[in-house]
Amino acid sequence: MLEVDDIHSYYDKSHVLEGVSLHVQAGELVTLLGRNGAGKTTTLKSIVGLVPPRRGTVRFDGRAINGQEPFRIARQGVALVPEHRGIFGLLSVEENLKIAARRSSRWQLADIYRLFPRLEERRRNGGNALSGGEQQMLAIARALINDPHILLLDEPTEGLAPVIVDEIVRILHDIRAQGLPVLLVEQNLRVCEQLADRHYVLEQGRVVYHGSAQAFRDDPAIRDRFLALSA
Amino acid sequence: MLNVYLFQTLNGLGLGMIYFLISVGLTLIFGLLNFVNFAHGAFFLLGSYLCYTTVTLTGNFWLSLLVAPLVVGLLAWLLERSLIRRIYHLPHTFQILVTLGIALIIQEASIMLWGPVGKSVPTPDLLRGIVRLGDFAYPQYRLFLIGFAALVAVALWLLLERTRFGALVRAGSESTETVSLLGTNIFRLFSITFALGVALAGLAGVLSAPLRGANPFLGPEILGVAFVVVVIGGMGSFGGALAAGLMVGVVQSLMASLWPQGSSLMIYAAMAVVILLRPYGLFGRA
Amino acid sequence: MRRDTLLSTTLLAATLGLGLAAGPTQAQDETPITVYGVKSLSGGNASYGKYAEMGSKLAIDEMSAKLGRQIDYVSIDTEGNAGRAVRKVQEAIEQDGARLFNGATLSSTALAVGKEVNEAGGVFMTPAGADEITGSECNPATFRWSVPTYGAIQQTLVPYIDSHPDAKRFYTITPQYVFGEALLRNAKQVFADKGVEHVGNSYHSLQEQEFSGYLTNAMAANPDVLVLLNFGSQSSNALRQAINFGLNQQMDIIMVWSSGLEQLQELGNDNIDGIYFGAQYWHEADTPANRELVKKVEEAYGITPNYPLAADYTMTKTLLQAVADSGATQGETLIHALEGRTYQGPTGEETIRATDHQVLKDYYLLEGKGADEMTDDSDYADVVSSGRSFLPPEKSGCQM
Repeated sequence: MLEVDDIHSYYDKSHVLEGVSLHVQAGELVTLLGRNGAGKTTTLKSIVGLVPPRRGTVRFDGRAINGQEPFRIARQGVALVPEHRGIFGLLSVEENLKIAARRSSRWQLADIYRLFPRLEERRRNGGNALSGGEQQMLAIARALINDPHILLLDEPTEGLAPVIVDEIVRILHDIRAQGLPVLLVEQNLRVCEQLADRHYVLEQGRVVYHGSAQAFRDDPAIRDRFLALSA
Repeated sequence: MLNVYLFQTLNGLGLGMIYFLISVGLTLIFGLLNFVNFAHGAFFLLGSYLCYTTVTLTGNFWLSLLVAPLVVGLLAWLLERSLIRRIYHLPHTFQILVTLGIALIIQEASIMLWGPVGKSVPTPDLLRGIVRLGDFAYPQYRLFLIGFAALVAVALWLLLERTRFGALVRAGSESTETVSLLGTNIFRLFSITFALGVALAGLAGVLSAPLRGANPFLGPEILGVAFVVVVIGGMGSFGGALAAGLMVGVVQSLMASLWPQGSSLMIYAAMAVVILLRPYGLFGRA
Repeated sequence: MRRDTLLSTTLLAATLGLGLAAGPTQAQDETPITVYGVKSLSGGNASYGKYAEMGSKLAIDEMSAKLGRQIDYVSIDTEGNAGRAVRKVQEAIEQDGARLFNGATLSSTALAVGKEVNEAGGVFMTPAGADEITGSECNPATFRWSVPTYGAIQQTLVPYIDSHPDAKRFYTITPQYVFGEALLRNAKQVFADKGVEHVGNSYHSLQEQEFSGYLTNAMAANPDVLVLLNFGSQSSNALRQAINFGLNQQMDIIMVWSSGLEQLQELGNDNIDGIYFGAQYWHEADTPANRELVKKVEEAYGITPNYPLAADYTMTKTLLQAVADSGATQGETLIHALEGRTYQGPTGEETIRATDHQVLKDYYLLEGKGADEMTDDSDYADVVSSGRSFLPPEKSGCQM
């Protein structure tokens, strides 16, 4: 569904991605691992068009999307839940959802509230009034109501209490079970191992490892070589 | 004596509502587009002139209330699509230079089209009289102005707070990038918001035309007041534009009775105090 | 062609050529005169400049024919800016030898240009209004047609007060700067002399367009008469807004310094009906020269003459007459020919006072008419009174 083929991305003169290739099929949950600064966020931003790749292609559903405006890419169902969550503090929870709502989406407001009962409780509160965990829920909920055909998440569990992390894992599990492909950037290894079908490891702008969840589990050396441990 | 201050307060409300209409567009444009529009006063000017032309051609002031802001808004929309959107990424100083140039072009074009002499716009027949309450008399037109502008303010508030468009504008003023990620055509949002903001300035021009006519040099003065109001109220804040607009209008009018020479001074002093105590304005946010 | 024929032909051609190049046979006073018109053709006062230029050109055509000599006119656009005007005048003086100047709307321009022309030994005729032009800043080169503040106040307030014995309370609205202060000072003197009460004054800035506050103050003071001491668009707006407030139904309103027909046209009947206006010129004034002027302007331009046109016409014509009479196009001879000169002007017999170069002429008090009272489409007002009042030369502050 999503094919990233040898993309090179820059921040001004800084060559951040030096030929990244990966793919995500329907129904898969694929993780993108790596140390800080490896280029994980940049990869996601390159896919959604915020940092357009100068070389290489990004294909979604067979169509090339690199070079398009971010809003056009988003309209094709490429949904990003960004690292800083991007909740609109000035808007209420419900407003945050309503501006993202699409009639074609599998998840409508009622479905969202069923999945995230805490958001329903707080629906009239301002985005600023939510806790970190609630904001993350809202960010994911907003992506779902936006009619996604693939979900990209940038470190959704960062800084959250274990109880919340578990809840997020459950939700992502659900989402994957419904057939929505997911590309997950995560530093939390435990989360990755619970959810992923495949793993990519990024280091200094290149994919240095790619393997199935099984292979990754079976080979502890990979973990030690490429990753800052966090479980 | 009591009457005088009541009068002055009413005068101030009318003036303040005009200031509000001009400033709210400016603050919206700054809030969402992060764009400093120094041509805002020139569009106010265009509104006044279009009112004059409409009234001259059709004799109908009410028609001009509709036509002038629409035409001004359309011009603004075309301008945004052709020129303004190319300079969003530039520092504010460049935006000021470009929009100043546009303002001058509009000013000179006005002189070419309507001549250098000011034009009078007659008060609409329906509102030519005075309202008498006991021995207290006040021009009907000024009361209408307060009421009409208040209606516009309410409509605008509803638009911002109760519609999807309004929510997108408010969201976009926090982060246009995130709004894009939700699939909203941010370019179209910008164009419409710019056109709307400018159309409001045009509307202010129409409302003010029967009071002070249309002349090519109205622009800079109005722009100055608009910026003071926006700074005091807070960039990007609807409530700020309303509160500050009314405050500036009322202070200016009361000063006419208390200390006429000091009215301009008071306004700028108020702005200085606000900047020192609350740099983002009364309702602004960091 | 044979060689000697060629030679004689060439000689003949050369002689003819030289003869033609030398121009028509010269007497000293047959050199073309050039008048430089300093007019605000663009910028804030461009409407004024347009009519002023028409006036000058009309005078030049007339005098050209009358004197039987070539008179050229060169236009200098002040752009409504004293600095720019002065630079252009300097250029004309240095590069073209310009010495005869006429015009200027803004007093600041007139004062600056007057100084330049004076240094070059030229002559400058101007209608600008500030007292200083024939007062503390007078100079030999500058001559001024318009009536300054003393006369404007005397010829409006005094006749009004005399004919309205019930009017006891007067409120003034004044622009806060030198010219406004001068009008106010003179007005206060009249109030004192006539024993009427000056119940209050509101100052406002030169940028002010919103007069509701001052009008409210005025209403609170309960005057019989509202006296507007501002001018231009400020006076128009103040009057418009006063009528909006219904003040014209509670009191009389006098606009002391109006620009006449042009302003009345812009205001429209609804805003001038029953209002008193002071004016430097009115086309219906019944004098021989004015009747002539109205006819000429109608023929040449198809319009009714207004103040800027009349002012610059009169000054240009007078200047050219003086040039013809004195044979000089600059310097003391010309200046002396102007000093003390009496001529038939639009306001009657007019004299250029020698001591301060101020033209002694009438100022008019007009009363605006409603639409149904107009006998033709320029008949916006009737002359209520006219006359001339000038401070004695010792009091004007001019030392030449």
